[in-house]
Amino acid sequence: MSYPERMVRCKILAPKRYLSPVISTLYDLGLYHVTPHIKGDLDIGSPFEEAEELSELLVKIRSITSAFPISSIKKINLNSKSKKNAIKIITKIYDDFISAEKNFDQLKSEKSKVQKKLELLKLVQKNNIDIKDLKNSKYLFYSAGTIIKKNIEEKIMQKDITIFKHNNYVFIISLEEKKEFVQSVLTEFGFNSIDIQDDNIQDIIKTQEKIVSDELKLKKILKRIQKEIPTLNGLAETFSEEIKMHELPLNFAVTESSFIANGWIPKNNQASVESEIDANTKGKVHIEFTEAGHNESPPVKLQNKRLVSPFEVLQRLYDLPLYREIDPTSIFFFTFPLFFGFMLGDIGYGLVLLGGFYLLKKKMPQAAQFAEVLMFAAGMSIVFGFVFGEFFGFEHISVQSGKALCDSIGICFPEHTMISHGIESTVADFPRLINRAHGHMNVFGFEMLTVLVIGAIVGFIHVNFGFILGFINELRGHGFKHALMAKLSWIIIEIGIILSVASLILGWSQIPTIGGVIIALIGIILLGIGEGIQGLVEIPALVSNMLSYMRLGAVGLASVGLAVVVNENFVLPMLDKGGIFILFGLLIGIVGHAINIALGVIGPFLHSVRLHYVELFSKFFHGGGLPYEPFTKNTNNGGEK
Amino acid sequence: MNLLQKTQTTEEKNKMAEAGLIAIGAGLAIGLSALAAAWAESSIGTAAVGAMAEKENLFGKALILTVIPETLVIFGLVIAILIIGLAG
Repeated sequence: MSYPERMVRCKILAPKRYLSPVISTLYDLGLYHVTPHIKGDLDIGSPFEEAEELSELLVKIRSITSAFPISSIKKINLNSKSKKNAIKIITKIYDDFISAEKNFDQLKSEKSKVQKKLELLKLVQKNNIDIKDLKNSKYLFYSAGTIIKKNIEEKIMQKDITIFKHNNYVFIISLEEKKEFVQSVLTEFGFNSIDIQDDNIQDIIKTQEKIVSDELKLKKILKRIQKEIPTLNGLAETFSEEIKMHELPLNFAVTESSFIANGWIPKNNQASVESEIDANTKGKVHIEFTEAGHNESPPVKLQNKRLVSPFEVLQRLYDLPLYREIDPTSIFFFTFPLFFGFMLGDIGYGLVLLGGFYLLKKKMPQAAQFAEVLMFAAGMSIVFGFVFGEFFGFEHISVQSGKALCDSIGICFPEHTMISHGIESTVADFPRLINRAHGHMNVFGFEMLTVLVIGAIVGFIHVNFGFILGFINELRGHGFKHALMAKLSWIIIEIGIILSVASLILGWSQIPTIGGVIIALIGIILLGIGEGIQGLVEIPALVSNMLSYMRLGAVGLASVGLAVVVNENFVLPMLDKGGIFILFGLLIGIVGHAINIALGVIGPFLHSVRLHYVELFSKFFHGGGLPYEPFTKNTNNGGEK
Repeated sequence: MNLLQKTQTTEEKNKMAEAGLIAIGAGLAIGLSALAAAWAESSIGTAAVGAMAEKENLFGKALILTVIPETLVIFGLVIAILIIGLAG
């Protein structure tokens, strides 16, 4: 059981000319969690001038890269000379890119215009129309262009009007006096006039060829730019890191000639931070370390051993503990796999999951922590598989198979006579400690499944452990009196109830019933003072919380049930039939168990996590800690997190 | 002789009816509690997904809120098992 790492407040006071070396030292150290200064008596600092220029460059780069498919990132290290060069190159690429895009758009619109002209000219040529004659005619009028709506012929067909049409291209010749009518009909059909009087097909085809060659040229330019995308991505990354450094003064307090940085560092690193800053500023900087005050809440950095640390993923899923609170990650380490294994206790399933999560860990490094947690859990499944004597839902094998196993590899199972559905049969039974599906025990006159009883007992232990942790937390936070009334009172109530039950139901006459009742009442009164009405309302939840742990047995029973159905109702009967049915049987077996394993991961995972989050955490955990996010280089997996 | 046989069969019949009623009781215990849990979870689930759409790191809390009513079914199952235990 550990607490979050101890932090000290670190204030740095220095003349403004040391801003840059201080920031780059902090950046390289990667330990400083900055507390932003809120503008009050002292103003906030302003970013370095370079930040604006770099931001502009970043916008330029992003506008280029967003036009191309996502590509890789080339790592780039810049010194001041290569940076100047890079800025020049970026500006050039950006200009090229913008002009190429603009020309591309122009070409596109021109292309469609030319295409339309060509179609119309073809229509004119096909029908032997002489546009020049028409143009000079006093009596005739013509319109050429495209329309949107169909069936214009029906509307426009009249004496003295001729229409030539191909797809949506129309060419209409009419008498001058019908001009108005023609124009009104054309407007109705969404007419778009195209001027072709000075064009001829040969010229148009030539223009088209030129457009195609221009397009090719532009494509070449864009392709050249695309080749630079990984470099640009790398530069964008470098620049955004630099901008982060340049903008850090926004979090500092400044006076006319000096600045004050305020933040947290782990206490263990105090000496190294001090010496490093001193070295880089020749001791011209004042650094002040102060322990966290009682009403301050430093950022939370969990510190767990290598084996326990993957379980931080479960802790983070809920919330970070407060700075002065116990970090419950190690509880997850002990009881999460235990609960998971108890629910999914099966040697076969455990082996499959262990392999599966090992693969997941190798293939998806970003899910490695999660996979490790589940590998622990799968390991416990195997252990409990031995406890329950289950292998892919089989609790026993036939006598013949048992004999064969005994002869070939020397693993011999004891023979056992069992009665199932009224039929007596002898089988080679797997050795086990507890029979999950059939093991019963007598509790106060009730025949109950052993696994359920074990669940409730585990619940009793787990919940009380929570109370003890709560007591420790309250002791540290609010002193003994509050800890006694708010947390220990629960245990006093429990003792009272247990004594009463022992004397009333079990008839232990040496304990007077009234004694138990009085103890319970004392506990209730203490709780009432400590937690008020809210605490009293929670009293019935004490029992339901512990009974809630019966799910440890219940979820497991459901999983066994499904496995047994797959085996006994589908696989074994099919195998008995022989022939092609063996294949079907195996197929059903694989699919059935795959589904059961999938359910067996989701169910036990959720229930195990929930028992911690709801039943256990409600006893001691507050949560809401501020995550420790030191000022440093962004790494691909989300930094220091 | 005939009478004895008849009483035996009625006794057996009664026993079977009793077993049947116990089974129905157990079924109701788990079925109704499952329905209740599903009902509760449906509204919590929609709200939780809505909240997560706004703030993704609420996943942990949303998950917990969603599975809280599952306890109902677990209790239903425990009661069902107790009822079956009554049958001896």
